[in-house]
Amino acid sequence: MLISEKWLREWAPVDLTHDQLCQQLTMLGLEIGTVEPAAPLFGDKIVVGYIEQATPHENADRLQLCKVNVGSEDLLSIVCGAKNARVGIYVAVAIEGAKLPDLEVKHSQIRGVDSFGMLCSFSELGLAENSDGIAELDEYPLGLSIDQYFDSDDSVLEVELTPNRGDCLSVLGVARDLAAVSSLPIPALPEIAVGASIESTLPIDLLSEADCPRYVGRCIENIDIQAKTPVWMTERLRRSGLRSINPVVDVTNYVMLELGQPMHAFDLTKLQGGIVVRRAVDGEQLVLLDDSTVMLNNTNLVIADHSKPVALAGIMGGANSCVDGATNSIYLESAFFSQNIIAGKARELGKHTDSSHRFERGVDFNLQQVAIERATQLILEIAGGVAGPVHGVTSESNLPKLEPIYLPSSQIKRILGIELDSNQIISIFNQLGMPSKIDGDGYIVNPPSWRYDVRAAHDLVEEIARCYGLNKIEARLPLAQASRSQISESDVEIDDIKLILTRKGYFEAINYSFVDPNWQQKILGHAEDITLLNPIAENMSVMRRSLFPGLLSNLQYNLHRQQSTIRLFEIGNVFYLNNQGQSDQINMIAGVAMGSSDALHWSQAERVLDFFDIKGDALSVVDNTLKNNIKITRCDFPFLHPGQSALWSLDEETIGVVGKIHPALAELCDLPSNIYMFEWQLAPLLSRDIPKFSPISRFPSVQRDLALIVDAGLPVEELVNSAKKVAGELLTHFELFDMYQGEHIEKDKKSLAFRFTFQANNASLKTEDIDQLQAQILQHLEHNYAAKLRA
Amino acid sequence: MSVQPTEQHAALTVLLDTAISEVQQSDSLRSLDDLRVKYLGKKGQLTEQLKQIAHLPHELKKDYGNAVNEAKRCLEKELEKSRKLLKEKEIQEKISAESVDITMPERSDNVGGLHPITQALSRMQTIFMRLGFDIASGPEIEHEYYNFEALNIPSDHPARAMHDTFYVGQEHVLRTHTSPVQIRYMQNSEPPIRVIAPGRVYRCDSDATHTPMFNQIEGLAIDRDITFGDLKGALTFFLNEFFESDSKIRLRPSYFPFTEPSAEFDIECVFCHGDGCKVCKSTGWLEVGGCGMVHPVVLKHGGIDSEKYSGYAFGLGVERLTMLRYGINDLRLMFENDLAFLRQF
Repeated sequence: MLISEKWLREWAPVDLTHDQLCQQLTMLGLEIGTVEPAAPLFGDKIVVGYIEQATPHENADRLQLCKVNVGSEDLLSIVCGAKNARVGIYVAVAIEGAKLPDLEVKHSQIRGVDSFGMLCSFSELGLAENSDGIAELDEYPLGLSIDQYFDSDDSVLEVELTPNRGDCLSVLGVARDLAAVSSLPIPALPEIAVGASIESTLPIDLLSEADCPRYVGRCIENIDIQAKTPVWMTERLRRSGLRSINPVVDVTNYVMLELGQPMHAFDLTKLQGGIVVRRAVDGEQLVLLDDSTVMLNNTNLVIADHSKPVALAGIMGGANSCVDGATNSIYLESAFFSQNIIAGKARELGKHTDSSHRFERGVDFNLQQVAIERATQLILEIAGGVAGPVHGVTSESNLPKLEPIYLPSSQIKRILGIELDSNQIISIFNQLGMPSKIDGDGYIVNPPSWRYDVRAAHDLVEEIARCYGLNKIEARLPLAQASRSQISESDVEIDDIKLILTRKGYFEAINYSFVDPNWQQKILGHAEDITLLNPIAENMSVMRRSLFPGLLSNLQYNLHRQQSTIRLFEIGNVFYLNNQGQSDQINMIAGVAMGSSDALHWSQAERVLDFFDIKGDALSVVDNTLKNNIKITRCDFPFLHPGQSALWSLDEETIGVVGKIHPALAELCDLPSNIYMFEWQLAPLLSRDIPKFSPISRFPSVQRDLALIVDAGLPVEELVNSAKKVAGELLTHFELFDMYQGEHIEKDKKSLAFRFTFQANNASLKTEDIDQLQAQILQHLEHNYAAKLRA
Repeated sequence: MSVQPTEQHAALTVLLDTAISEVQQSDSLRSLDDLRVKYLGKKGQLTEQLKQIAHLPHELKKDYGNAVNEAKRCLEKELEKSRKLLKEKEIQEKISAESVDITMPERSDNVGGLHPITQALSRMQTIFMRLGFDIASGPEIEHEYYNFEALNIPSDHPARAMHDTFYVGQEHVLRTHTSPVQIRYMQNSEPPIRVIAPGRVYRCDSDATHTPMFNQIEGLAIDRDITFGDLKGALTFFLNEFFESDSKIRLRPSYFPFTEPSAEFDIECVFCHGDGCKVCKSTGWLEVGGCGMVHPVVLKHGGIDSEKYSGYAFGLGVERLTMLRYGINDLRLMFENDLAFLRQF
């Protein structure tokens, strides 16, 4: 909410500097955001003038030479191009030396005629975004500065109100809080009673009392809708962010800003019979002031006359009953609508207005009479007219109940950790307009009609904290209690996993959890996505099913930025529909990589990273315990290269995938074809066995190298597992140190060279024993896999 | 008694001089070895001189013997000297042959890095763990009940407008804060509770200073006699640890439906120490989070007796703290995953 500092100080005459005032409001919980000057200040260089003469310029058709009275003896000659420059109007005259936002005014010759100043428009004065012609001012002493005329020496404060403080959506409300902590009297409501000079009233039928416990109305006839709203009011409206429309609308807006009561004015002649406050009928339509049509149902409250709905209650008036340029008589509405009937409705209909904003946060239910009198007073002052009697209907039983609240003293200490003197507490409540008294070991406090956020003892504790000052409450340093850790040594920390990958050259990425549905589908294939009902953009509209879509787009992003070796990983949740059709999440870790296998170095030739690099990277985050329990199989994921991809499973459940991007997908997504990627479920990686010591053999080990020729299609792992079975415990270690296909080897065969390490726990192995074991292994492999020892 | 030099002596001197000169001219360890054999070997020329003693007159024997031995010692010394020199030279040559340009790039592994958010989060967790906080987490697609109702934000409450919620279905939302974890944790444990819940949260908002996804750390402490003073103590400790400073913190009354009293908290600008600078927009303060005493309604939804227990809760903006810590000036960099950015951390 924007508020004029001067206006506020009128209601709460605090003895604070501008900075102190802003600080005080912020520390009350009424945070001051931006502060802007209300208007540019021009000093004595722009003054009020009066056009005495206006004659056509001798050398230019569209210019006039104006003689302007600025209160001194001589008239100023000013050449002006505005169409509305004419004799008899008050104008803003920039004299020599005036600095406007875009230019400095100097004596000049315009088409051969001397001009000693400039007549300014509202936009040139910084008071409007754009404006037609020069500003026409109200009658005002000539030669006085424009700063005085507009009361420009003021600031506009942006108060960032929290939704609980509906009471502060007015100058009165903010002033009340400010006065409360400044030992000023509580700002009083104006006592106005404009007597009735005509008898006109409209009957009011309150059919929906719970929605509208109070409806107050008044007829005002014979007004001059063309009357000009005085500058003090238009300026205050402007500073509050509202445009001047006509005197009636301006006054209703002004009263809303001043007191917090949203009001509405109908054109009296457009109403038939009287006012009916009722729920809309399902399917009922209403064209609103902004020319939009809303389709209503019986959760909407409308104001109707005896034939049609004329306003969406508390939100916006209808076009069919609006005040326009021809209006002569009006019906003023000052109503109390319940929070419940407005809350959410305005947003639902896309009609959030200043009025609905206030009603859904709660309007003081004792304000309607005062507001309508204040508005009447202002309308009569500005637009003339004669007022009828104020006529209102109230359903007392539906008004909010103001029950006294009991606050035990102990609760203050228990929550805030401070002990305050009872006088101090009583004084805080009284200053806030909450009459209170001591009652035994506590206080009885009466909440005011404007504070919807004060309903229970804990609300009162907050008021005390706020007024006493949160920063005066002493900090108590924490004493950590020794408690059993929830983390076991067998838990693998996620951060440790991340560090392993950084040591392998991977950078950590963090992507949005929502992705582009087309991109996701291109990569992962078709499946049901979890879709956001209100995405911020189409390309962020579905939840990711895998970390790959995000990482692949990061990869693409970096390729476009001249990176050629890229390794990225991410840990985060992916989302899917579970068996019950509910959306669920699962934490994953994934990596993508392409480019050089090692950091480029002058000592060695560059090697492009391949499947076995990514397989190693993927397995680097897998603890040995798990490594021994997972099974690798070929993978048929459509986005992975069928010849270079694999799945890992644990107890029949797939927990990991690794592979090269499918060439077709690379082409489809405009990605290079040498991208490798892996993804694991994170949970299985997060536990490990606590290491358990086993005795170290004191006996020497023996190594044997063995080159075998086998079918090219034979998986090495199968061969090795089989060999291990035969070798038993004596085989402690083996390495595949060469794989060869090509010359000297049959076409569909490959040569595998293994280094076996044998060791026994209880004895030195004899050559004969090893020979025998080796022969057994060979025989077994020959028998089962037609393996031949390479010559 | 001095013995006059004889012919033998003169010849010995010549022999020794020749030998020494040859040794000195020798340019390799091998030729030195050859010279040793030539003069000192079994049939070496100096060795031969010893054999000559037998033919000398008795009175000269001793003298000449001494002279030959002296010559041998002398030559051996010379040989040793040359050997050392040559060895030295050989090593020097080896060294210069093996010498490399030490400024050439070393061989190194590829090294990646952690996202700055992870680095900051990890420090935050460590600090809170030292204060005895456990770590919890919760679902990101959250039931409306946990995200709103249980936190005292009924439907149609204007506070919902503060949240710009992403809806996933009729009853589910992308959690707008980590506060739902409070409820889930309370429902599953007994006081005393000290827990933090870091995680991703989502708001339907995107501009220079807002991303539709960001990270928060939720904190919750519930025990007997927990007061607002404890909240201030914990936050002060945390912020000063995190920024390694002794900055003041400031609390401003605010409103969150799930705490009361509620406050936003600022730390004295860690860049200008409160004097006012660009980062703090001349206010001297940096806003870092929201906090308050847990609302009795929230305690009730968590199954905790608010007559017996009280507690505080807070939420910290992880991106905000990360940016302040590392001087990052553009929030959007956080999720672009540009290697040029990631390499800096």
